[in-house]
Amino acid sequence: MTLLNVDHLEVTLRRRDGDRPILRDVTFAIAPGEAVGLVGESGSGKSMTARAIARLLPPGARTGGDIVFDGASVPGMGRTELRAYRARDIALIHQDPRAHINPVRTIGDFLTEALRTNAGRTKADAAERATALLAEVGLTEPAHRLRQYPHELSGGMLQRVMIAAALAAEPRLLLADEPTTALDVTTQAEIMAILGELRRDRGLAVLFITHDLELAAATCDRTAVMYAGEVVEDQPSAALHARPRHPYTTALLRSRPTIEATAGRLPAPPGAPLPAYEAPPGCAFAARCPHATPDCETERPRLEPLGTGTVACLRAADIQEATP
Amino acid sequence: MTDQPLIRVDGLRKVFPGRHGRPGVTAVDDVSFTVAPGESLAIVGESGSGKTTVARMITGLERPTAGTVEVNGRPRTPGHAGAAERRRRARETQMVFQDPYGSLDPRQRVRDTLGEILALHFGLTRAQRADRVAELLDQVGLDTRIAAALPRDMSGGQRQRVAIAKALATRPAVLVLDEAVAALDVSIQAQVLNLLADIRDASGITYLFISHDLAVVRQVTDRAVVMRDGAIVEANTTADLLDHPEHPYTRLLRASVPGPGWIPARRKTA
Repeated sequence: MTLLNVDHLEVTLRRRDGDRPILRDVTFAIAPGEAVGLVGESGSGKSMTARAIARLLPPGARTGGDIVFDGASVPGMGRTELRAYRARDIALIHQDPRAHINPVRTIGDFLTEALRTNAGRTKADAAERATALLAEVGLTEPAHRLRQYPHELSGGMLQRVMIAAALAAEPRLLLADEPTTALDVTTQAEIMAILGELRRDRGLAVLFITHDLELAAATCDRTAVMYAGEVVEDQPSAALHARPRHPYTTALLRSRPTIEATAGRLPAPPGAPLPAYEAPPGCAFAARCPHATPDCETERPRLEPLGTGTVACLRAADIQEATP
Repeated sequence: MTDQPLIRVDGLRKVFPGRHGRPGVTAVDDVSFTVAPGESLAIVGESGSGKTTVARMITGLERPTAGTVEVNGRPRTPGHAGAAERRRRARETQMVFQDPYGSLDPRQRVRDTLGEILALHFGLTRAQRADRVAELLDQVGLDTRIAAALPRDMSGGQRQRVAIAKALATRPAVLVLDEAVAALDVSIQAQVLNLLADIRDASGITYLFISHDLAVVRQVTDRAVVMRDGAIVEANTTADLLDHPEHPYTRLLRASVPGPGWIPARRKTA
C-alpha cells in the first residue's frame, strides 16, 4: 500500500532558447507514515521533484510520467480537487522560513489563516488550536508567540512555527525541502527530533529533501539518491549506508569527511555534478565514475531491482561481485 | 618553525554599540589564543558565537573594543593605518569567505582580478604578471583557460578556487577561511579540502579555519577552540577535542552530528 507513487516523472521547462529537461526519470514511492530521504547535490532536481508533487511547477512546464497520491493522479486533478489536495493532503516546509512568511503579519495571523479559511473554524477556536500546535513543536509561551512578528523569532523558532503551520490541516504527507540546512547543528538536531516525534504520533509520511546523506540515512526509513534529474538508487537507509549500490552513492559517502578520523586524502570524484539538461545519452555519472565502460557512455541505465532496493547502473551487479 | 607564535590574540573583546538607546551586544568576550607558524587552528561555533568577529578583528576588518592582536610579533594597533602599512598587513593575512560572489567583481575577468592584486603588491611587468596568474591558477587546480572567464561563467567550486587564488596572490603568511567550504556540494567540498591540504603542504602557510562543521574541522586542522556566546569554552588538539570532549557544550555539538544510529535529542523547548 502506497500513499504517494512517483512513476517515471519527467519535467521539462520551456525556455526562449529551447526546451530544458529538469527531471529525466524520477521514480520512488512513500507508504503511509514512512519517511523517505531524497538526497542529491545542487541541480540534481530534488526541489523540483517536491514542487512537481505539490503541482507548483513554473508556468509552461511539461510533465511526463505520473504522480499518484492515494489513487488520484496529481497532474490530472481538476481545480477543486487540486485545491483540496493542497489544503488537506500535503504540506510544505522550506529551507528559509523567513522567505515564506509575511513579515508584517503576526505569527497568530499566519497560523490561523488556513484554519479559518480551510477548516472553517471560528477566530477563538483557531487561536486555541494554534496555541496547541505551537506547544506541540516545543515553543515556550505559545499564547505570547501568537502576538509576535517573524523578526522577533530566531531561525530555529520560525522553522518550528512553519512546522506548526504545516501540521494545522493535519496533512498525510509533509514535503520538507532542506528544512534544517540554514540552522545550527544543535537546532537541526532538535527540529529532526520534533519531526520524528510528529511522524510517530500522527502517522505522518515525510519526504525529506537534503544534500546531507548522513542526515537522511540517520532519520529516514528509506533514501533515494538523485543525480542529473534522475533517481539513481533507492534503498532502506541502513542498507544504503552499509552497502551503496550506485557508484555515485559510494562517491558521496566516501567524499564526506568523518568526525571520527582524519583521512589522508578524501577520495573525491573528479569533475562537478551535472544538471539534467547537460546529461549525455548514456549514464550521466559515467564521466566521473571509476567503473565506467564504453557501454556506460551510450546506453542509458534504468532503475532495476537489486538486493534490498533499486539501482540505475549497468555495472551494479558486477561491482557488487567485485567488492565482497 | 620557531617558538614565536605567528598570531597572538590576547584578551580580545568586541562590543557592538546598541542603537536607539538599546544596550550594546558583547560579541566577543576575553578571547585569547596563539597560532604557531604553519599550524592550522579551527575556531568552532554556531551562529552568534563570535567566531567570525574574532576572524574579522585578526584581519583588521573590525576594531577590537579591548585586547590585542599580534601578527608576526607586531601589534596591530587600532586606528588609521597608512597605505603602505595596509599593504604590508595584506601580505600577512588574507581572508576567504563562504560566498565567493561577494568577493569577486561580477564584471572583472579572473586574470584582471588576480593581476590587479599582483600589480598593487609586487609591481611586475605584464608578462611577469601573466606568468604569476598562471601559477596561481595552477596552484588552486584550475585550467589556465579560466583566466578569461567572468564569475558568472564559473561553477560554485571554480569561483571558490578563484577566491582562494586571489587570497594567495599576496603570498600571505596566514589564510583565514570563514566557512569557506560550507556552501559547496559534497563532492566539490572534498576536492577543495584536498586542495587546502596540498597548499599547506607545499607552502607551509598557516590556516585559521572558521567553521561550524566538525567533520570538516577534523579533516583540515591540528588544534581547535570552541566558542559559545563570545567566549572560548574549550581548546585542545582537534583529535582530542572531538574524541574526548570535556565541556558540556562541546559534547552537545558532538552529539548533534548525524551518523548511523543517531537519535536526535529534544534538549529543551525554545
